[in-house]
Amino acid sequence: MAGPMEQFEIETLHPIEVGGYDLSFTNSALWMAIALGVISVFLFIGASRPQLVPNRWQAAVEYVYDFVRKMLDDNVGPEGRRFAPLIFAIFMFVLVCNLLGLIPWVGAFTPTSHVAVTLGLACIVFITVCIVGFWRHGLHFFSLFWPHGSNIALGAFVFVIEFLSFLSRPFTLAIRLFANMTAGHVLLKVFGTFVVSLGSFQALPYVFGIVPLGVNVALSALELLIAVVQAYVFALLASLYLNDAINLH
Amino acid sequence: MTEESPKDELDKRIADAKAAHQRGISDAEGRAEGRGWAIGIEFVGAVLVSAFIGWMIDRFAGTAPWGLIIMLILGFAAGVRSALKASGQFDADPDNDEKD
Repeated sequence: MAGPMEQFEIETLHPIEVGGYDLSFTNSALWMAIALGVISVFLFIGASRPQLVPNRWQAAVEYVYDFVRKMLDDNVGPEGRRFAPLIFAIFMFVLVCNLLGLIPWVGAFTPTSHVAVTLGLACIVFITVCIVGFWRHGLHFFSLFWPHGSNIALGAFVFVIEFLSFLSRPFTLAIRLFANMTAGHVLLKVFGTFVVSLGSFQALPYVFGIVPLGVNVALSALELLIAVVQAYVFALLASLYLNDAINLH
Repeated sequence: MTEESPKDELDKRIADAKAAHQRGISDAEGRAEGRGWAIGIEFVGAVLVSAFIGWMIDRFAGTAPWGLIIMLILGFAAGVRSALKASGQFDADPDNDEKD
């Protein structure tokens, strides 16, 4: 029987090596490509024939985009709208990766259950925040970490602490998504093995397997919720960090 | 009693639906388990990142073990600061009914 961690193993599907680096096409890359395909189909069909009164596809696409744009309006203000494409792209990618990973039977792989992927996404956000902050405010950006109206000694101490807390942001952003995805999938697999081991009780076969099966059905619904909520939280925190860089305080 | 026009009634229904939609999102985001995770990750993340920076300082400046020790202590402070910030955001949430 497959262990609960085997679903996260990276398999090389097509080995590629460039300049000594292993750039193989793996199952992780395959499922990210599938996610990209699903997003493209969704957006292209929705935007192919725009009408004043949208049909269902167009309404769905507009709804998701308006959702992201409204989130930026609420958290960043009018300046945030120019970052809507970036936040929208990250939101859609995380959302579709999370949702595709929940499909049973097809051997689905969840790219967002790997720190390499989530930390990459978090670094895109973090580097954007740094560039935007220094672009708009220059070295004045560091005043984000300086407490108002304190003396030099205490201010310097708080500055270091705030700066460390700022540096830990990409890490916490990445770990949050990775931990939620990994924990959920492990839980599903563990209860899945309970179904088999309890259901194979010799004297009364199948009966006891029903309980963990019911738990797994409920967990699948919960995982669906977490997949959407974590994509939302990732995009929300990214826009909150952008707010710091754009408006300072 | 004034008669409600169909448009007023529609406006009211749209407003109600919007309010319900907003509440749904913040409920899902603010589940107690999620909050606990968020605060824990903020704290641990700050400590680990600071310790890593201290370790790197030691490696390149040859100041072992002082860089690691000092940065670890500062990292604890930064972690507490981040955790307090995160819990402050939850307290500021008007839909938070667990607040006393």
